[in-house]
Amino acid sequence: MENKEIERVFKVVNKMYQEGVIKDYAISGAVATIYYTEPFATQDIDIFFISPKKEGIILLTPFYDFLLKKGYKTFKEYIMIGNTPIQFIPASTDLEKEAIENANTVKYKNIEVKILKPEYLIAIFLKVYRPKDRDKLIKLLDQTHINKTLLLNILKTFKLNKRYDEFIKKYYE
Amino acid sequence: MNNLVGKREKDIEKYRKKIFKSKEECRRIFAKEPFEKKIRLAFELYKRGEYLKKFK
Repeated sequence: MENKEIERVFKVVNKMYQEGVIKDYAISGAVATIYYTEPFATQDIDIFFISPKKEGIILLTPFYDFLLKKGYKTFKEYIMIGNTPIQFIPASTDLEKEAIENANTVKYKNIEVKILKPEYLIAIFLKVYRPKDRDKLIKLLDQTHINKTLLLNILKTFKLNKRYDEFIKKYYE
Repeated sequence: MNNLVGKREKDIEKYRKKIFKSKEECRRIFAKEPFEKKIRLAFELYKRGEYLKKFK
C-alpha cells in the first residue's frame, strides 16, 4: 500500500473531524499499536469515533452520508478509502470514550492524526482479549514506555486489574 | 563422546540465546522507525502473508 493512500485516509478523517461530521476520533487497533512498536501485518485501519448528538440521539447518518457522497464504497463492514479498508467503530463504552478524549496527536507527514495512548490501548486489548489482542499487549509492554501510574488508574477505573494481573502472571512470571 | 555432545548442545543453547536476544534488540530498533515507514511495512507484510497462503 502506498503512503499516499494512507495520507488520503488521514486527510479524510481529519476533514470529517473539522467539519463536525464526527465529534471526536482516534486511531486504534494494530495501526495505533504500530505507532509505538515494531511493524507487524495488518489489513485495515480501525478508527474509534464519537458521533455528534442531537436531542440525546446519536447521529450516524451524517457520517455515512459524508463518506458515501464522496464516492467511497463499502465492503462488508468496511469503508474503502482507495484500496484501504477502514473500520469506523462508534465508541460505545466509557473506556473507549475516555481513550479518545485523551488520545495523543501525532504527525503523519504533515497531517495531524489522533492516536490512542498505549495505556488505553492496553486496557482496550485486555477487555477484548482475543489471541491477536494478547500479541499486541506483549508488543506494547515490551517495546514502549508505559506510564505505570496512568495504566494502573485506567485499569482500576474500568475494573481490569484482575485480568491484567492474570496476563502478567501467565506471560511474564 | 557423550560429554562432547553435551558440550555442543550447551554451545547451541548459548548461540540460540544470543540469537533471541539480538532479535529482541532488533524489535526495539524497528519500534523506533518513523511511523510512515512502519505503516507501509505493516500493509506490505499483510500482502506478503496473503500471497504465501496461496501455496498451502
